[in-house]
Amino acid sequence: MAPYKLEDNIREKLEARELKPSADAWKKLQAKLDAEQPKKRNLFWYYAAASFVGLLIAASIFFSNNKIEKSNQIVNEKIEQPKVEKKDGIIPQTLQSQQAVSEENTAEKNTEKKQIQNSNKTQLPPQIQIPNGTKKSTVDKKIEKTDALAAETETKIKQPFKTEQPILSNEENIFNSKVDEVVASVKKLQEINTEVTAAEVEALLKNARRDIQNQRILSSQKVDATALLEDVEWELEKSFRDKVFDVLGEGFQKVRTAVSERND
Amino acid sequence: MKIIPLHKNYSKLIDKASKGDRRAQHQLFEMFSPKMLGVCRQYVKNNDLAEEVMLSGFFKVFTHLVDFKNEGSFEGWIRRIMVNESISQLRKDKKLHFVSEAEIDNTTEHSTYIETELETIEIQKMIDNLPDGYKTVFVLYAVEGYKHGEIAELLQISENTSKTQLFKARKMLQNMVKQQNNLSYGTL
Repeated sequence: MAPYKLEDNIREKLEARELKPSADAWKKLQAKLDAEQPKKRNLFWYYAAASFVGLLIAASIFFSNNKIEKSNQIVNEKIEQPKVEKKDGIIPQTLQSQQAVSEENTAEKNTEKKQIQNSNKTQLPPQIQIPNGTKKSTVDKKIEKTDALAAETETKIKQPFKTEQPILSNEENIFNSKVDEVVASVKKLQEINTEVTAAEVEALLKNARRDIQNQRILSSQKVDATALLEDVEWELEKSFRDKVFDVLGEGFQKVRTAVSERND
Repeated sequence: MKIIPLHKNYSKLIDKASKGDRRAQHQLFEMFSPKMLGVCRQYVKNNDLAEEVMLSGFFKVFTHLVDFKNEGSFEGWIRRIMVNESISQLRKDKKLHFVSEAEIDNTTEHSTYIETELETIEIQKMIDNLPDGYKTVFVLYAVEGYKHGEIAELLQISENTSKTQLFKARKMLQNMVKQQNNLSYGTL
């Protein structure tokens, strides 16, 4: 008989019910929300301050490293200078040729090409035939690039150095003999197969490059290996490859483009 | 039927409010606070305390508004927050302790029928007179439409406890209705 279900009645009434909050309810909530935001702002400033301090530390480390490098170089120069004076008197010609070559890039390349071809023909170690000056300057230039300090490199160009000469000649020795090696093996490959694939050339280049690099790192006194390794690697790779391709001539233009495209 | 256009209208408000726009937050508060105070009042007897619960619920709503992804109804989302807030208030006041009782076999629903519709004030009085445990389970089940599984999870009780609490709440309510009827008949 009863028309109403108790629970439906309860639900309907309670769902529809609205109770007016007190007048200052919103103000209370607003105060609570306002109190929340400065916290966040504070946090932001903490982060900003922390990152600023971090930057400062990083900068100070960076600059102090620079200072150490510079002082090292000054020490090196001091060691070199007395020997340089002796050397100046002994071989003025090398000085001249060195400067001339470093000024003219194209000329240097041409002479080098010839030199390498010569050494190919005679099968003799290249350093016997090639005047020291021109060779040294090419290697020298690479060191210049890696060193990145113009002032220091300038003094190097002007002053032939006794201490580094054995190292450099040794280095150039390896460099040239590697060029010869690669060229010889490419030619051999050419004789065996009619075509030399880019992969084969690349493998040869890679091996030779690694050898040269190892030798350079071992023999060099100055190169800050960790800092400049990448630089050196790039320079070495580029110049060495260019040389080989120069020696091999236009017949390998295709291979060259293939290799460079692959690098892209 | 009206929910969809309304929802569209305040989705802009929600967006603004989630970015900390006080005016938008105030508008949302004005829109929903009376209803939500009603929700909180179902669980919390004291009016002032219910308002406090409602305010801390709204505080959560506005600080977590970014988490509300316009899926489902906004009102439903706020309501859930209010329910949770009310329950944690009851818990804080140590009002929620459920004694796990022997299983009651006959928990099937017996609808209680009443002669005349009860007014909201009467209903609230009856509910206020229920023990907090019974009341909470009853309101969650009968008013909010929660399932026993959900209630069990929310209150960290077993489903069986939820069922027995509901059963007992119903019984008490029936008795209250009977008493009222008796009273009213008596006065006649």
